[in-house]
Amino acid sequence: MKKRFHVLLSITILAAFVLASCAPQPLPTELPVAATKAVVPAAATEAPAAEVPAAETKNVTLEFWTFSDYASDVGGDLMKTFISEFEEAHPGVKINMTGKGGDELNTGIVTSKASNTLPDVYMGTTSQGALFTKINAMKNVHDNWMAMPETYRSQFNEEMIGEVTPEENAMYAIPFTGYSTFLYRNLTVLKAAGIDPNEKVETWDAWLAQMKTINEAGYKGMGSFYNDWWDFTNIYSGAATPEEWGIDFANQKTMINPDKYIQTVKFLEAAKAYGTENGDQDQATTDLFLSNKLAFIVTGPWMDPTFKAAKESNSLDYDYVLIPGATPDNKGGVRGTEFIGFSPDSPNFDLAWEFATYICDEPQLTRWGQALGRFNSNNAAIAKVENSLLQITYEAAVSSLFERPPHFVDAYPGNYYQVLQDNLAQITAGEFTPEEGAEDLIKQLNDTIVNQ
Amino acid sequence: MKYWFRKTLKHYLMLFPFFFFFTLFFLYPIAQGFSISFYKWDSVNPAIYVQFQNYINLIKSRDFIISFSNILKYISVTVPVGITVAFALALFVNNLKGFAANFFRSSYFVPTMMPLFLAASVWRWMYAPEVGIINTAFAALGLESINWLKNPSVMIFALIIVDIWRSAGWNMVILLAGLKNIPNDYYDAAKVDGANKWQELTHVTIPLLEPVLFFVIAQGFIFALQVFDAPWLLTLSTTQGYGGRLKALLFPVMDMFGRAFGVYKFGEASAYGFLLTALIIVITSILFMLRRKN
Repeated sequence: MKKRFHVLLSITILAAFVLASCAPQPLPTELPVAATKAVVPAAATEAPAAEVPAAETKNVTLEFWTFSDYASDVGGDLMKTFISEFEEAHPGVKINMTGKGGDELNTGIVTSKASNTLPDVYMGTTSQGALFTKINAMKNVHDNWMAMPETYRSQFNEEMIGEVTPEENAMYAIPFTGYSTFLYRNLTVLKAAGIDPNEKVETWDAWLAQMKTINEAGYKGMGSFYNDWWDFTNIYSGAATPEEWGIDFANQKTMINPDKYIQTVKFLEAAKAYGTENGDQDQATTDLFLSNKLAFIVTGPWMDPTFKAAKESNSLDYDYVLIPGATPDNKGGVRGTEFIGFSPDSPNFDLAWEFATYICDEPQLTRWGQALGRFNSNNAAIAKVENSLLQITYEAAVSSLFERPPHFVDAYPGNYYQVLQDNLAQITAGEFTPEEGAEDLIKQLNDTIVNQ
Repeated sequence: MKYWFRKTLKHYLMLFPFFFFFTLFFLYPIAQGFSISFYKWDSVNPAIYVQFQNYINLIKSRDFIISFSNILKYISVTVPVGITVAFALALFVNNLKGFAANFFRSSYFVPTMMPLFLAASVWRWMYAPEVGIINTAFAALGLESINWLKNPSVMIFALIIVDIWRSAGWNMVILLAGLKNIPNDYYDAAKVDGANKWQELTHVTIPLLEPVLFFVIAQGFIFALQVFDAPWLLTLSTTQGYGGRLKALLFPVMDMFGRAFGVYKFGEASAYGFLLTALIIVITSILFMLRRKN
């Protein structure tokens, strides 16, 4: 009996190994861009701007992934409203929205493509576009886009359309929203330190002088920008041009300018003495700002609701300006754009396309802009929104650096920014001088690109 | 054979669903992972058989050495200190009765029940330089602020404190159950022999609690070797950058996760998993051998 049990167990384990002996299956081969033809809808009807196009009744569930902040709070409420409106106009259609954090969303797209479970429609950032197209997770929607009425297409921001259209006849998504960062200033702290808020700060030297004055008055200047590549880039952008950022994939090298890197690091080292060790994005830094102990925070429009609520309770007086650059002709900041992409394997693509074009249409993005104060791809919608946040976001975008340029060319090595963060940590810990750090950084980044 | 089929086949058929799902969801993924560890695969391109190259690349990589160096530092402190704290709490609660016993037992168990993301948020706040409650207390005592989560030389201790705080309640409950099972006769006999409290502890309590202590120690090592969530959350890691400043909180499971979902090297990540499993088996075997020897 014991022997037979052991035999049975052995057979079971052997069966498991036999099943596993097959090599892991690759994803379907990526089709050349030019050869990919999107399915053109049979009849491209002109949809009235404020109405959802009518649809035949069929029981379909669309899987829709979006960012967690677009699935919760104000953004989530609005997105659910759009979904309800669409479902009402399409009886039998259900849209299952899932909110995911940025990291989780990116990883989720890759792993779901590998397991053939991509959502029908999803949001992503253009900085990940190259990765998603490389794994064939993004449908070329150029023909669908061109089949849309001219009155619809002409609403959209040409530059943002260009970001998702890397070459002729290849458009991988509909651009949705965008952001850029700027400098929030605590006016209470500035005034208490004897600084006139109307006094313009045009250079890093002038900014340092202000931070010194603030520190001498018993307050703190700003948070630490060494903790995260994104924090650092907000400041580096004030010295560098777009040609000094990103990856030159053709020549397999980083485009970071070592001299500008050194200049930025030296500025941050000097600013450290007048600020807090808490990271710029840390909750503790936000608390210092809200409790009138910190003068400056570099962040985006998503923080404005928090600051606005504090202002309304009379505990905070603030404004926002562009991030000072090293020279008067440059400003700091990071920018990014988000898109709506489509699974190339979805059996419900037509419906997914209809849904996406609906939420990107002017009435919906007008509501979006009014509720969230963030810029989006629909110029017609933006023209109707009056919000000073939008104004500064547009101004900041002019000199901000993109997160991971160039878009839709090649995927960044997964550990590219880890190398930058490690290098910053080594400089701030005293292991490297800024000059040694810059030299090591360029070498390490180039090795990372080549060995991807 | 006919007799065997008649009498026993139905029993095996009843066991079959368990073995089927056990094979499908436990054995098969393990075997598949082991198979993948011999391939170079990024889920995009076809897998390429590379024999032991993944294992060699791992052992030679700087992050592998850092992660194992960190895990050795971590387990050498967190396991003995954590179990000592849990044992002390169990002894304390064991001496209480009624409401006090229930209150303290529940209170010490609360950190175990708290969702880790919440615990990490609270500790990040407490650890914040200058403004966190710990550094505020330091300032009141005239001590300098410590950057607990950004200073590489103290980050591991910040993590150990959080882990001991979380695991003490769990281990306390297990040890408390063991203490409750020790008959009072032994303590009565010890008192008659003139033993003091320390002697009672070392000659009665600990020897009789040995099986439970061994379980807690072995479990402590196994959990510690797989540490991932707390350092990940405390350092606000992402797949694009993890382990904190200078990788002071980079551990094997985190490195494995990063290789899989950060740089899409699933072959290397699988190899990592098996190396870590082998290490856990070795350490657990050593513990069992030492126990048998004693």
